[in-house]
Amino acid sequence: MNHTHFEELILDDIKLSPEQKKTLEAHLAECTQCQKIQTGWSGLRQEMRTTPAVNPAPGFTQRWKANSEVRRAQQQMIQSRKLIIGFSISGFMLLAILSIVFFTQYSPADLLVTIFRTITRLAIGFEELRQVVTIWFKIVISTSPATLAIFISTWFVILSLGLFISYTRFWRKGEVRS
Amino acid sequence: MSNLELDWIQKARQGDEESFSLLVEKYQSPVYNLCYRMLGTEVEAEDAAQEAFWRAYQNLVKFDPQRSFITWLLSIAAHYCIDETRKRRYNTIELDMLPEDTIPDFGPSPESEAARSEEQVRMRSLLKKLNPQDRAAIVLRYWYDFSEEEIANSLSLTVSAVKSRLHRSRLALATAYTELQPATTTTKERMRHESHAF
Repeated sequence: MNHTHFEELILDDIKLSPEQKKTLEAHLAECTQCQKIQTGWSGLRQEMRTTPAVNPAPGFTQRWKANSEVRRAQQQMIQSRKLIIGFSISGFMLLAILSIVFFTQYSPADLLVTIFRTITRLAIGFEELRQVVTIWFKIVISTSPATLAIFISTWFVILSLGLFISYTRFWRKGEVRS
Repeated sequence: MSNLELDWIQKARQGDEESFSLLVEKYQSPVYNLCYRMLGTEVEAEDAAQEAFWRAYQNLVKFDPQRSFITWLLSIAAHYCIDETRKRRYNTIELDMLPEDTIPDFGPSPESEAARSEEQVRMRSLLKKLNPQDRAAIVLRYWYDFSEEEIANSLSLTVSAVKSRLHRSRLALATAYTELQPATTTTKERMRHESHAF
């Protein structure tokens, strides 16, 4: 016997015609298998209708608001991390490309020579500057010690004036005046 | 969908979270109920419902105002619950296998009391027998009166696939329900006449 047809009549939400109802009833009277399905399904449908809907615990919307704040903060953190990682990766890539270009055009020996040459030049330059300053001070002191005193005093006055202006114009800007 | 709702959606789309909170307030119960039917525990249902609303808020620009908002929202919740159930299969310990007192609770409430009622437990065990998509189809059909077309749209299936899933699920549920009945009756009888423990 073909039960599939009767199962469809029992289970699928079809509006049965009087003839279909009659055929189904006749089948159910002699088929225990389909009878069980029919009993089970109608019982379950009844229970589905009567089982109450489950509601969330009170304060669901407040919890949602709190959650969304946390999630938003997390999202911002993830975005800033992504940005930092992106910049770092692109920085490293740029450095790598520049290094490749540089090393293909210059040999490491040339590079070392250039570095040492630059350091030596800087050291010589510094030494020359030190000698110039020393000679200048010697000349100033030997010609007139008063000139040096005036020079230092003038610098002190200019510096004090500068500090005073900075303090009055910027540092006290936020203070409440009575 | 009412004009007021459309207004809330419009404002929420422009980033007004307060307007979206009104939508959360209005639809919390259907979304939570769907998640509960799909996942079976209050804690998981709460998390899933919260996640569904968050996803809806994040994707609100994609919502077509011509469609029903609740259908769209339930579709998001159903998809999330299906994914969660699939993930859970790979976990070695399921929440249902844990003793009752290890599952966190939000405290006694009329809702949680109702959730523990015999019907709810029986319904949960019956729905658990179905695979996630079949379960979603049944829940949307019989708790939310979705048409087969709406279920197909919500679950990204064809109408014929929905029809066959629903038929298969109904058969499985009817059989399981019949098998469950004598045991339940016995328990009820014991409760009524024999044991003082109940």
